[in-house]
Amino acid sequence: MSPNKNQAVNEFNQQVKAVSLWADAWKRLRKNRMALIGLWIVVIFAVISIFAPLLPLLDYTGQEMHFTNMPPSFRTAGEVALTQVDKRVAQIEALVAQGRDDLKPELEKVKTEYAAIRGEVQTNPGSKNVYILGTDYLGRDLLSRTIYGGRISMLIGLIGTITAIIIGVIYGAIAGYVGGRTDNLMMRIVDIIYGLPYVMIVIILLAIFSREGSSSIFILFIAIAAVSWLTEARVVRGQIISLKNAEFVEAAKSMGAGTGRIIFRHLLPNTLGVIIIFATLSIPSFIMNESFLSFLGLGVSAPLASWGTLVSEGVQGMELYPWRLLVPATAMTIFLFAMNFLGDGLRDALDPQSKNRT
Amino acid sequence: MKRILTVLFALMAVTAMLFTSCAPKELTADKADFIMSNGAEPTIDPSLLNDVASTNVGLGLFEGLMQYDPNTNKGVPALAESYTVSPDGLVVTFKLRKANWSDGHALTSADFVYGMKRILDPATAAEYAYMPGMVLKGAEDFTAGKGSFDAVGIKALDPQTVQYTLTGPAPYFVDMTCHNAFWPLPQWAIEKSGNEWTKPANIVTNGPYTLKEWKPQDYIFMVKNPKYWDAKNVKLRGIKILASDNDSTNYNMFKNGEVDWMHGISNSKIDEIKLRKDYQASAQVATYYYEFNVVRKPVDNVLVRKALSAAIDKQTLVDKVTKGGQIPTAAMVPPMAGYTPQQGQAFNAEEGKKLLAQAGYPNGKGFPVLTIVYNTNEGHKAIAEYVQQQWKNNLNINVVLKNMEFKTLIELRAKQHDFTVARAGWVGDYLDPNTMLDMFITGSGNNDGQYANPAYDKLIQDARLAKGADRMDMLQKAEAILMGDAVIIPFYHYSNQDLVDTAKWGGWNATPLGFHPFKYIFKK
Repeated sequence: MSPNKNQAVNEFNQQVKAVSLWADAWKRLRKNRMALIGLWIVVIFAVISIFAPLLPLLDYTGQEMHFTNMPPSFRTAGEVALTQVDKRVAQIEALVAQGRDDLKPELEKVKTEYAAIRGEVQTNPGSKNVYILGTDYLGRDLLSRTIYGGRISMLIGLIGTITAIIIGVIYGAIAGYVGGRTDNLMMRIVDIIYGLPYVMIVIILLAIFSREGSSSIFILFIAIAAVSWLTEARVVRGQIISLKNAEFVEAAKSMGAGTGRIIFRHLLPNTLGVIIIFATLSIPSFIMNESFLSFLGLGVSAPLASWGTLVSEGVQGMELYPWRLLVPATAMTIFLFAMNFLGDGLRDALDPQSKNRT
Repeated sequence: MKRILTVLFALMAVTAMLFTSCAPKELTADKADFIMSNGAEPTIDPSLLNDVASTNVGLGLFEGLMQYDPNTNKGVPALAESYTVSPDGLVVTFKLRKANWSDGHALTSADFVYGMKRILDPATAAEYAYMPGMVLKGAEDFTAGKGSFDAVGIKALDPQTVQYTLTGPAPYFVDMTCHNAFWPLPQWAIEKSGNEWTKPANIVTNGPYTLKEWKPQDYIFMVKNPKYWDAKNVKLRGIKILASDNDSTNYNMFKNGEVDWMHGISNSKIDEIKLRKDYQASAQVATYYYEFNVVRKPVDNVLVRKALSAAIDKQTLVDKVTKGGQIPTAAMVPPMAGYTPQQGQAFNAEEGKKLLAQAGYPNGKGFPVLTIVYNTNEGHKAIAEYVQQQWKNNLNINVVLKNMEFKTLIELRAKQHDFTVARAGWVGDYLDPNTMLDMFITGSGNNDGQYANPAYDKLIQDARLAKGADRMDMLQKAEAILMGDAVIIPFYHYSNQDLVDTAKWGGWNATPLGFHPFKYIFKK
């Protein structure tokens, strides 16, 4: 039986199925357990964020002033609040018993509050809410805030990455392929933008673009996009330079292909691996950037939240209400870990020189 | 041999101890008797300081004719030995006691005249220039560049006598001289060192303490001033004042006993702090409010302003958000002796809806998105988020929040008037309703919202010339106009919140203005 001419044959003259780069990469990625776990976590996070409005969550902006700073619990808000106030009454009564007469007015106040919450439990439908992950300082549900905060954070990561890829790839490819004086000029511009301090650019952009009644989130998007593409442009330029004298480019040139066709049809597909790796690894860095800006008070403004703003709010009361910090911080850490493992796995899978190649 | 060595070491140790105890003791910052956490980096120059943290430091270094009483914060004579007020209340003459500056110069009435000239001088650009400007004859014109300093109502009659001529019989004038705007200043030191005169090497002070060390953004160290006229009654020898604005760090330091007095408390820890024995809270002559830029749409409409005022539940705000013993209010002036605060729009969500509909926005339809500007601080943020949600729930309107640094907010509010709704707070400078009201007169430097109402101006101007119950009546009428026009939304009257163990430290009392001069503090 002679082998079919179209099918590949190995050194033992056995038929093998042709394996595309992607199928090959997927096979290798599947063998990398950490990367696979990372992939699943990212998928779960993405699904939850996309379908958040369909989930039976409490309103993430809704404030229940009787149920502020509630610890995580599976019981209803009314019950938890009553136990909390009970504890506080007992604590103050113990202090008053020790001779702290100055706390008597405070005790009265807490007792009135107790009665008020009793009343709330009867009348307010909010007291039936269950805050699995607790509430923040304005009685907002931390679970839905963390999910909606994740939406914003991931959106910022995505927008940053997409603009980075679009601008960075085109810019870097042109600079790398054309070379010479153009390359020099284009890369010096990148160097100059690199040299400007990031936070200052954001503050300046916020000052220029913020108008009465406009939310700062769009400016944040612009600010992150404006500086996101620099590294990508450099990486792509380097790749293009190393490939532009390869034989397949020569061949294309000799067939009369134009510059645009060579860049987009021949060179870029060969750098796709690097671009994908860069994209997965840069999403966490955009999320970190946004958190940093939010931490400084320059990020997303209320009632919207991002993981960064939630963490920075949580830090304020971390001794007394640790869940306010731990819940968003854990969600964010898990996502960033997963994203980094996935990025590492993709690098191993897509790298033609990888040692683990099978 | 071993024994000889031990004896030798013991001898050496003893001699070393002898020598150190004989050498004159140099007091250093790490040996301060009293450590205070101030919550902010202070300004030292008395002409320029305008916040509470700086005043705390200033009250240690300088002193005016009168001094805040440590119990009541009313004025008690300090550099003034005595004073007389003319029958019409327009001329106040102070007799100075014999006192010296820390460099040995004698303190004379000329120093008061120089201090006044410096703060009023338009070149100094002092924010508090308007305060003497209001009461002293000719001062406003001089600051505006319209008159000479000779026309200003302050005269050094002789080296020991200084005389003030007022625009009206302001009964609060004598108390006002406690304020830094009226302090004497050392002309020779300021002219010699210019802007550098507040550096420890150059500064000359007349208060109970002198500036020994100043590490910007870290701490200030003051030591007792031996040349101070009442030095024998100054108990603390060295005071270290920390500038850190990190509430958590400051509170942990206080808990560890590394700080004796912590000023200002963060509301994220208030539940714990409230139960401490050393927590001090008392009503303060100060109001937290949001101000409207009354020339901007849509808040140029009084119905809109009233609707926005009616839609905020301040009782819940105070009970659940600020939690520090603040008093919810709908008036600008806190309760004071002989004065009834005039309440404005009370909380009533239904009425708010109606008012907004009358203004042409039924159920918030067509209402533009408002921006609330506030200075970056977790407390202000929580309040702004609360207000945002209240307006959303009760009026169905959308609001965005914008935070900025305090100095930027002041610039935006007071100089550019580039805001629609802004967070503001006002702390009284003396115990009189006038301190809370006169800034809303047309064209005042602190009238950020550009409110202009001739009827209001007239009442405030007339009140300067009136006395007793009549005067209070005029001020009450003025406040009624202010609140009727809903120029501001008052939220609450502040409470002073400090942490200090009064069982250990004497001379520290909860006071209505929140001033606690170091001079009177002593270890029990």
